[in-house]
Amino acid sequence: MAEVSILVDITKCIGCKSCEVACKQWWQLPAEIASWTGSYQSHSDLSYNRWTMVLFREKETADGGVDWIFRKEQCMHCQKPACVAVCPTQALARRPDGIVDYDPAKCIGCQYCVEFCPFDVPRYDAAANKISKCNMCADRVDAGMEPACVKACPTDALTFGPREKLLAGAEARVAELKEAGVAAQVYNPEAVGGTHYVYVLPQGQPSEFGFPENLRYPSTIGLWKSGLQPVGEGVAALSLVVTLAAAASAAFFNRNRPDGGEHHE
Amino acid sequence: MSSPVRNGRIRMFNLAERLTHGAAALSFVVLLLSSASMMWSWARWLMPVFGGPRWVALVHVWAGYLFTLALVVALLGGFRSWVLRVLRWGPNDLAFVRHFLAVYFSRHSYADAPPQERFNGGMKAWSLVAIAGGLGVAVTGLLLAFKGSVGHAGFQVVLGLHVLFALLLTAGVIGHVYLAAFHPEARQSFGSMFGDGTVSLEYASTHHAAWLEEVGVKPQRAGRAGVPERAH
Amino acid sequence: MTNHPRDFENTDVALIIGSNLAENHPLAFRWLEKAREERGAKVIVVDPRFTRTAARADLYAPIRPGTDIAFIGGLINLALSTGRYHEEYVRTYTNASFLVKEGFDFQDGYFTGYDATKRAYDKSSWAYETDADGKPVRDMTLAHPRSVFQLMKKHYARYDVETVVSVTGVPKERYLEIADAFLASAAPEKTGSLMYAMGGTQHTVGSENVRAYAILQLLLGNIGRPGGGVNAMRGHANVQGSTDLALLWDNLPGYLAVPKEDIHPDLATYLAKETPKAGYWTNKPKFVVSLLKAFFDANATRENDFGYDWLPKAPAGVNCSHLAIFERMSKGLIRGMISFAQNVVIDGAHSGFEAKAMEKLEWLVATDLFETETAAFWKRPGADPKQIKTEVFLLPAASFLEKSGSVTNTGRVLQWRHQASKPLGEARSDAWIASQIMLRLKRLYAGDSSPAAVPINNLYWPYGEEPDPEQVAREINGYDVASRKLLPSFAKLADDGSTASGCWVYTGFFQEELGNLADSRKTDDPSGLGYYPGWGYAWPLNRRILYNRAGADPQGAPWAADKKTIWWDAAQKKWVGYDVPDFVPTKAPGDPGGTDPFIMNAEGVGRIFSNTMAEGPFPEHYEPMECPVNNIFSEVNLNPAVHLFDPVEHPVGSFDKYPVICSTWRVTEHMGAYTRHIPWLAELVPVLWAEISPSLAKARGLKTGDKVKIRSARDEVEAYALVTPRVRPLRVLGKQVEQVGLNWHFGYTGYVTGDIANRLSPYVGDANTWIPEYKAFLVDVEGVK
Repeated sequence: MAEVSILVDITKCIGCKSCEVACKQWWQLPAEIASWTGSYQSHSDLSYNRWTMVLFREKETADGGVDWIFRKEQCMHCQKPACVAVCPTQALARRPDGIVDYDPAKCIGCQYCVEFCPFDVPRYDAAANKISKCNMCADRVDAGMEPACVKACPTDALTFGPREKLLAGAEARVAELKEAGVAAQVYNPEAVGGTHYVYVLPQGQPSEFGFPENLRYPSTIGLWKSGLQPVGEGVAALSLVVTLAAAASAAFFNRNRPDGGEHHE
Repeated sequence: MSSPVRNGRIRMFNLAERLTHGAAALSFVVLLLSSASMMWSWARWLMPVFGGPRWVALVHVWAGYLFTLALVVALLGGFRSWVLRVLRWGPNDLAFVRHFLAVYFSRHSYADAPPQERFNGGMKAWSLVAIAGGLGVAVTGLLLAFKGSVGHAGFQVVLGLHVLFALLLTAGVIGHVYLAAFHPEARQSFGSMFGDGTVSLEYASTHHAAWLEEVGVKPQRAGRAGVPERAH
Repeated sequence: MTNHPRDFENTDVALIIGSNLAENHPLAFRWLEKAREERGAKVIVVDPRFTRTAARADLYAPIRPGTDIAFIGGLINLALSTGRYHEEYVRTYTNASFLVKEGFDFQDGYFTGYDATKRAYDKSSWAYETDADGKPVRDMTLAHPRSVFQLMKKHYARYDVETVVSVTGVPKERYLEIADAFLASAAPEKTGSLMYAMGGTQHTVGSENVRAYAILQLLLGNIGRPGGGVNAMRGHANVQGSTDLALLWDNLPGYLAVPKEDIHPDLATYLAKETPKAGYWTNKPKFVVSLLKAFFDANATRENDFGYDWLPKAPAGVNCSHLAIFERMSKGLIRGMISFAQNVVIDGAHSGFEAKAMEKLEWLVATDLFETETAAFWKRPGADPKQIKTEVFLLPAASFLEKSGSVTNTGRVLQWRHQASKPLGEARSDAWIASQIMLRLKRLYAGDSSPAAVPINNLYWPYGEEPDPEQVAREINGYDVASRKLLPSFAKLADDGSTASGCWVYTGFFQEELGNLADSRKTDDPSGLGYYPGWGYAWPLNRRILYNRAGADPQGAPWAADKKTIWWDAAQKKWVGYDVPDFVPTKAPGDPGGTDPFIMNAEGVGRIFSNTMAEGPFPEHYEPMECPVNNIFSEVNLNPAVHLFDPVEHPVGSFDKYPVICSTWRVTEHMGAYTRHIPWLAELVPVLWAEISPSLAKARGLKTGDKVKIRSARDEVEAYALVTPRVRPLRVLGKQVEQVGLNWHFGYTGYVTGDIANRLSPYVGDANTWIPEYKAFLVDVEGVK
């Protein structure tokens, strides 16, 4: 199955939040009327019932003007998803098409994904004892539709399609912007093997758009999964084997007892 | 001082010890099985026992609190009667440990070792493992439960350590359970720990002769053999 | 608009002035982004505030609210003084070459003919010099000192760059950059599009602002061409449709004037006065008589002036605009009001006054989706319900999804919508409600022959208990009265009573053979220019770009190969191309009038000089009613033709007491006051905030999140401070002038509530349309302890 992606062209985003509303509508997530954030941003953070939102950042430019950045935030659908690696119950799973899908029925609320996600995306709800996050509308994708946010985007700042095509499109767009004097870049971070949400960022560091400063795939997963746990499992298994051997040995040495080794008072 | 022996039996574990141990044992079983059902897909069938995906992690956390409580009570309440004692090692304890593998595999009898205190060398060693492993798993577990205190990176490291401690402790528990419940000689203590706390004088004499002496009870039949005569 | 949103993709440069296009028309903005991506188009945004549209602009300039004419006047001056205008287009397609009569002048801020007591002009001197046949005299060299071209040049020579930037507050470098970018569209192969909205119109000089835009676009040769145009970005899906169908207070359907009691005593007089001597409007009698036939059907006969007497007439000297209605309502002169989806308590000017005026009503019918602030005016904060005698009827209305019918978008495209679900509860469509009212009136007046009863009894009302939107649509389209067959074009309308049409500009959208073309959804686009002629129906006659004769040069060839619209095919002897010609299809370029693209004007060309405006033939800068500086273009501060309301009832603030400029505007998350009733939208913008510059915040000791009080001379509101570098003080005539912006979506009903920003706005309107000056007034801002 060919991999899919969503391309976010920041240079076309008008910050209208249609994506936020479309997501809530498709997934029937309740509104969260909260106190004001002090900016155009609807809420201060993602939440259990808010899988995507537009971050608003203002930056004064060298020439005395303002850059007003609108950046859609949601699960990045990593090529190498830490959440999937740590999810004990496969509630999170990377599909062949690259979507990091989520099955709430399997979620046990352990929140390992919350702790390991390098983008700080999954959100936990204590009442439901589950996490939630964007699953790129896997249900719509399976039905041959584009994700709800993409469908609602009025300016094509969001486009959905085969990954290779979108990546090529992103590169072409960046080349175009560079020609126009904008030091744009594609954000598809290698640290997590690439992401299925690919961004075209105009000039500036990814951190100015609210991405992690030093994005890393958590090496602690290796320490745990390939180090500490196998050692512990080995020791426990050894203990089990030795003990079974001891039981066999006990049976052998007590074979002549009429009671078969049973102790009697 | 009257003799602690009643009807040929002597109390080895008092009620507080039995309750504490029981709580630790119960919570450990729940912790082990619930985590197994979460961690290993071959054990997933156990999850419904703990309330399925909705509850299993919560059951694990609350069992962890119970385990931690039992551990703390044991360490504090049994500080003199248990902790200090298992920390005190004499030549007989070391000698017991040297005999341990043979005893474990039933090649030799307990009686082949020098007279043991209420906690023999093996029990002392296990106690130390249990205290260390229990503290490790409890402290890491608490940090995971109150994860705000360690941050994401801290959580990630602590989680690995928790798994390691839990598995090491499990390794010890396997041996402990075998000895206490299935070993042809040692298993009488199972009935004691999960019963009225007494062992027969005969058992005490062969396994904990030094203890009997300590409490002023004459061992039933001392001697090299130490092996209880088969009554029948 | 002359063009349509999809056409933005064909532009080379867009000037967005007085419109927050990206926020309020996100889908239209999409095509501008396409133009930028595919054609390298430049997007220029001129707005007091750095909006989300500005965030996506190539060039942004802040501007002092109310100074558009200075801004555009400066561009006109630059275009003329540096030769950056489309010379052939101007010479041929505009009235630049026309001579103006001797005696016309402009002195000290006044054009000739001003009567200060009437605050009105006698426009007789604003006229062309004519020859013996009454035909305007032209000087094709444009050199005659009384030619429109030279008069224009002289008028705007006063709008030099230094003056313009000091009045508007636009940084000079940025102004020149913008001028260079937009005036580049004067090249015949280039086009520039100009988009405006209420930021342009909601001023005492609103109509002249739009005139200024139009003059600039005529000079640059940008009208009638793909990627060009003067493009009014109308507020929602059907604002265009509602004005087409007489939402405007002085219009009958199809932009026919409302008859006035004093000057239009009978049909003949009305037609004589309202019908020009030349141009397409010479057909006006056909449209008027057909409209009367649609209203009164068989009861309208030649003998009874087709029922003209039964039309209500505007009384002499009485203005029926929104402002004037509420002024009269406050005096107890209006007994009842039916409000269809109008929320005046939120969107009225000096809206606390308008809410108070409603207390004088005996009855109010509020027809809406839910109880709006207007329906709940009697229990608004501060009102005492016991003292309000108004009987309020709240009629639940069906939403747009719950009924069928057409909407007409800002590009004049009619699109039919089908009912998606049944109305909730007792809700009914507006058509049902209107029809029921009339049916009951007819029953009430049956057999009555009093003057009030006659029009009602004669009214043709075939809609019945459950009106059928298609039946209404057919009547709007028009039909042959005898056969009841639908007409394919308004060219078929007659003034003899043989045809009927409810709105002549729409005739053709619903045809006998082709059916309902508003419901057509063909997606082929032979032009490649985004015309999509089979998608919906663009009035008039499915023309996608108005005045498209101007899209070809005088000889009939397209100005640019990549922007062909229609052109003259000499072999076929007719105009051919991608669009429906806005021209006589067989009139050759060499024929008389063959180079007159502006067929709705009697003179056939675009008007740089116009005698139709209340305050002058050329747009002239006047200050807003509440202004931070005196006008430096003349001694006249305020547009001399605006009506002044009672200054006691509606106090006017001065700069020394109210030193901050304020405008009210919208945000993309909300639609009027409605979306605060929808949780998913309410959560997006939960409070009323006031956008304040860092310097003003510092001066007043404010930070983001503080409660602030904003006071105008009329009222005060509370809001939360949003301190942002996106709002900057402007340098205006040597003064630093601060500004603050408020959205007007808030009110006291819904999931999220807040003060009503329009309580602050002034009670004064444009001199032509009477649209209130919401976009420029004075306030002060202080922290709430």
